[in-house]
Amino acid sequence: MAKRLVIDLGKCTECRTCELKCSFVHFQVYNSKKAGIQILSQWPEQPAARLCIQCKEPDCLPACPSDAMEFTPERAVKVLYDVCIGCASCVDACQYNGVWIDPLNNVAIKCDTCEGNYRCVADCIVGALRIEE
Amino acid sequence: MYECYKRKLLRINLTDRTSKEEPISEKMIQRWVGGMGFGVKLLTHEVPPTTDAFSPDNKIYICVGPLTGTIAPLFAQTCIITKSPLTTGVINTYAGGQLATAIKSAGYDVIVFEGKADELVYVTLTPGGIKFINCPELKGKPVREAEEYVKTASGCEDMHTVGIGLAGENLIRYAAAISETRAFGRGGAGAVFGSKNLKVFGVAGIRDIKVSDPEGFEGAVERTIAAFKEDLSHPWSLLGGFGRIGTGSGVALINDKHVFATRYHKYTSFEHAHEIDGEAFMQKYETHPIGCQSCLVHCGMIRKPAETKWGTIWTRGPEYETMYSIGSLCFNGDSDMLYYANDQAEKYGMDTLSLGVNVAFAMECVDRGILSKDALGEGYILEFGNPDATVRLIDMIAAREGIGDLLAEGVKRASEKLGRGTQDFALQVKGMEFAAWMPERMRGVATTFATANRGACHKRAPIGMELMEFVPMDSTEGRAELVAHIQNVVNATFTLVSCRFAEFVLKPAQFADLLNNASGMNFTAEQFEQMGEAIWNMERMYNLAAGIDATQDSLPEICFKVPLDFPEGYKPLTHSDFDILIKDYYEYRGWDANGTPTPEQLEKLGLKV
Amino acid sequence: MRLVVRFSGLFRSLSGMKEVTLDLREECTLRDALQELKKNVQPEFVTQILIPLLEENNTGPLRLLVKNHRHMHSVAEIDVPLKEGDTVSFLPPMEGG
Repeated sequence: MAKRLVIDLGKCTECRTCELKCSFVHFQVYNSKKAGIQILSQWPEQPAARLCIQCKEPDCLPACPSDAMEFTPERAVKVLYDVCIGCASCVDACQYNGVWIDPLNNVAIKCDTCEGNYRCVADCIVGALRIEE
Repeated sequence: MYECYKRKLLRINLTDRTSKEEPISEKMIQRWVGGMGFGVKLLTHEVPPTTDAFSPDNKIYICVGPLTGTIAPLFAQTCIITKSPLTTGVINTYAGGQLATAIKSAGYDVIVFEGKADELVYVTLTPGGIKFINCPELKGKPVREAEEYVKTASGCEDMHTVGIGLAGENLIRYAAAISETRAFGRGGAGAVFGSKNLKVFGVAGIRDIKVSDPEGFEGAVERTIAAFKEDLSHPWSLLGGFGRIGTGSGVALINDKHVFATRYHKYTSFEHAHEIDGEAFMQKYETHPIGCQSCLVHCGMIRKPAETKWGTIWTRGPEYETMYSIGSLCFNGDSDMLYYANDQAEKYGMDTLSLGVNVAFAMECVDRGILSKDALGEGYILEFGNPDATVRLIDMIAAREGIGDLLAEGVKRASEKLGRGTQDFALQVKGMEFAAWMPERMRGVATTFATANRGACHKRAPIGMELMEFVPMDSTEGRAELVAHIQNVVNATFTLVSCRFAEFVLKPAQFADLLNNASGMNFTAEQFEQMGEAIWNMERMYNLAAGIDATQDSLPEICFKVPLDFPEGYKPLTHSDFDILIKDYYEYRGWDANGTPTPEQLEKLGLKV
Repeated sequence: MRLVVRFSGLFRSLSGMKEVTLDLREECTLRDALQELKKNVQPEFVTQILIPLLEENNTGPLRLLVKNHRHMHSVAEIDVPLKEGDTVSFLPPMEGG
């Protein structure tokens, strides 16, 4: 099983740097819709987050009708953006709300762990993100 | 080139409910960069200076900048430019949050609202298009409620909004436009929304935000983050204090240094300051700090619902300036009242600074026998330090009820109506009520309040230099240069659109570094700063044409009286000192004795004579 | 002589106190007083504030020290003898405007 990204929502300041870092690392653009982590404000309560929990037996991959998902060497599920048709079968299959569709390019978006390095973690100024084995 | 721009402006006409896109030229980008630069350039060319702020001919320019929506920290603000109903000049006003990113990802650098809707409307801009929807059911509704309504009705959970409450609808001249707990506070932009019958504007976007040189930009961002981290690494970092306890972290210092305007400038320090400062709020209310897009300071303090005498509410803040205006200035040491009043101001959509000054002005008028202490009706005594009276008066102002109707016009117009010497103590310049800080104590603040294009505003004052006494605060020496320099630099940073706090850490060269890598342009630090100066002069020319002449580069007489606890060893402000400050300032600016930029100066700045 | 030292904001949590009254010999300097202060405050305050200030003669932390409502700008100013009735506060600095 791939290492997981864990968020401490009590620390999160909703700055969404993680979102932009993610879209930049994967697409060289800033677009929170293309980020594999989503921070949702719900004032006055602390924020909520959507992110992939890296299931051992993921439901998203087998649900894909176009073979647009594959396992990385770290056993995270990764979207092949050139192949994905944006049908959202993976979105429906995931019970954990860990995958969604980028409405601009109509492809599935989910966290691929950056080869286990989780590039977002280092950019979180308050240390709300951490990697869990 | 210019990848960080959308290069598009969207003109929304509320009269005929149409919209049209226009390109933003290369020349415009190179000359005015974005944000405040775009807005001031557009307004000064499209809205004649004599236009009434509430006329359908006034326009609202909602502007973002080249760094908006990127990972560069402290560039999440949106800039609104309009003609101010308070000063009658051009106003620039800012709010943080997520609105700016939403506008840019919707595909625009500028959104312009023109005309006037025939009834109350909200406007949404989503990937599905633009919609104008009548909303009589939102009339008088608190901003937060109206925003939620629009998001729900649009079925768009990731929409971000800016809207008004009762104060904007009632044309309170210092009504704020509110964007999700953040306020476009100063200058009455909310009232201009109200005059156009625009209740809420909601925007959701899905587009990519790009930069010209991704690798170079990443490097510039790393250097920027390193600079902020260095600052934050010191236990004494001001921004660190803002992140821990909010902008109210400065109150203790300001009070100790006797520059905390108290009881309508009668005193320079407040014995109850420690009961209403950042620390006090952190201890009393459960708090969750939040930041704007990409921000590493996170100064926004969301308070969980708390019980007060006036109801159980949650709020964000109050900010430092509110601790002054509704706190010390009104002699209020009641944190529950401040907490509640902060929420009232958000709910109604009012600038807490102008609001507090108007409340305090009424209290001062009672003290001087000009207004009756019974002016609030039965059960209330209008007097300093009375929390119930403060809360009641805020309600009356928003509703324009009784004496509230007079104060809804701001202290300048109220004092003109009242007469009896009230103009001498109306805390305003060019119609804009005083921000915190005391011109009596600090010469740079006196110069800034008197000369700022926004009126008595603190946003471009050499406060740190004077308060920390790197320069003697009561000396006229070198003040013109200090003030003009910070006015220019801050104007330049507002083209990006920067948070005001970025300049605490970053130098003009660092702003230019980010801009160049994002846009492909080649600004030097000097060019960047000079652009800020050109904008300053462009605003000045417009304001002069609007009738705001040099006689308004002045301070009310109360600033030349000596507060009772004025500290020993410092000189109070005198008329002769003030005359020197203004004369030096005009000279340094290259303006004539009437405060008009000379043709040579305009030419030097590349402005049309 | 006695000297009251006040702490605000972060310095309260770092030092563990709001204020402290120091009993000092006559003609004592602020530097002596700050050495004395080391015995009263929590170790974090000593390592993060007082050591950089006193031992490294660093003007950074000097900006936190307000004597009689005035800031000091050279380390030499802490070698001036104190007078009865002087007040000293640790306050966060202000920047910008």
